[in-house]
Amino acid sequence: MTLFWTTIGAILTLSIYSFLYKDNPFYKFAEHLVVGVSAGYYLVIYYWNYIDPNVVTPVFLLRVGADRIPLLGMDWWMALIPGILGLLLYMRFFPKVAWVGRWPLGIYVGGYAGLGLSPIMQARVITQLGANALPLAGVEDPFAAMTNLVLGISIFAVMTYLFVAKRSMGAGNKLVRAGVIVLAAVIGYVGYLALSLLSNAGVVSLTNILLVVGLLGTLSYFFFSMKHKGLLGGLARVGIVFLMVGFGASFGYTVMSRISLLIGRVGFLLHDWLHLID
Amino acid sequence: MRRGIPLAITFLIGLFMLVDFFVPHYRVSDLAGEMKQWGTIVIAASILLGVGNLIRVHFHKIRRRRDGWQYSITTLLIMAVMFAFGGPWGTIQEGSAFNWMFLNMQVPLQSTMFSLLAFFIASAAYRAFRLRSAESGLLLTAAIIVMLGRVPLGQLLTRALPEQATLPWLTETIMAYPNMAAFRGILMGAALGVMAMGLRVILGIERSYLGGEK
Repeated sequence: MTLFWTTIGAILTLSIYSFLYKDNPFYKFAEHLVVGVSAGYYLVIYYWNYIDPNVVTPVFLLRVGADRIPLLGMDWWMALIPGILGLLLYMRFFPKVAWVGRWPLGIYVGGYAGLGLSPIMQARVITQLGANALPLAGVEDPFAAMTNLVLGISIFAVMTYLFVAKRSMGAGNKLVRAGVIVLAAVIGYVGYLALSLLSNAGVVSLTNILLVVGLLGTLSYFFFSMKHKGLLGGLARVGIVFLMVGFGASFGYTVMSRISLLIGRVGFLLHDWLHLID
Repeated sequence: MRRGIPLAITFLIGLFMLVDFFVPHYRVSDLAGEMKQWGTIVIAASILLGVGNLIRVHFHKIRRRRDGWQYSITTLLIMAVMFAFGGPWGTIQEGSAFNWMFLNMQVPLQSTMFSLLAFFIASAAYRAFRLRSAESGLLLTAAIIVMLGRVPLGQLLTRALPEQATLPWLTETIMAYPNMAAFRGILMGAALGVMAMGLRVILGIERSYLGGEK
């Protein structure tokens, strides 16, 4: 029986991969199967996790342990309001009264807009700023703090000079620009290693400075109320560097997550189904 | 009336959510909590509405014998089976038929669908990672380090080097600092955008969510 279901699973897996050749009936069948299974799953999950406990049970039934007694719950009328609002959404199936479906949308959109003002300011701006502005390590030792700061600033100065001030350097020559990048990366990395040999506090200080510079640069890049010239232009260029590293890292991370899924499915075919690998 | 009532509802609810933030009274926060619950239920109802719409679309397709109508039968049939297994009894329980369908059909089918993207993302990566400029060089370098640092090969290649020169360490550093700084900037920018949009919605300047009809 297990072999039967494994074979069905393998056939469906191969049907989906057949799309790599071209769109075909096997793929279409598997694709519609995925849509059907997912829709059925979410139908059940959303009903039992949200509608039933918050609307149906308080209004029509009272749960006592595992049993359900037909009795109105205490706040049944409060539960009736979202139930009615939810039902109003379905009015869009009746063109004459479809406009009533805007009322629950108004509640949802208005609520989210209200939450989007102050709470989001606190959660996503102020908290993030606090998490980003970390103290320099080693402040209790003035000499260590000074060394860290000088080293950190020097490394940033060199990197910024290479990336920003000398932007025109080799602008027409890709090889020279790529060389500049490699040189800057090597200088930054060697400086970082040297710093880590001197003190661990130096590394902490540097990374904390890096967070602040990166955040300022990124925000400057997205600040369009002024022309990107002078200091703002320089900061925006630094922002591009951080953004590119961030996008590269995120893209690389996404690629690897997809590849790991692929490895999982190939493992299923070769191990679970064909028993070719251990 | 058709647009005025929802606009008034939006204004009042939005304003109340703001009041809840500034007025820490239990009656206000209780009512605000209840309203947040209403929002969750409206979302759940809208998901069910989406499923209902899917059923309608496929039903029409079958009735009018449109191109590929046979596949729509598959969709409706498997949806009905899934609902029959889970609908009357509820959410995932160990050993139930619904749970079996979830573990043996939905999870592997969806993971296969997503793994299919590995092939397309590889072609996208080829275009994105080409060394055309200094900036794309950074993108390429960061991506290579992260990709290698996440697999055993990366560890194997650099295991003889000191810890701070190994690919897994570099990956962690890139993710924790430059990546974090950049994405915090984006997150904060997006939050400011959400706030501006929220204000427009509450004041009734932004009305696109009401649809095009009168």
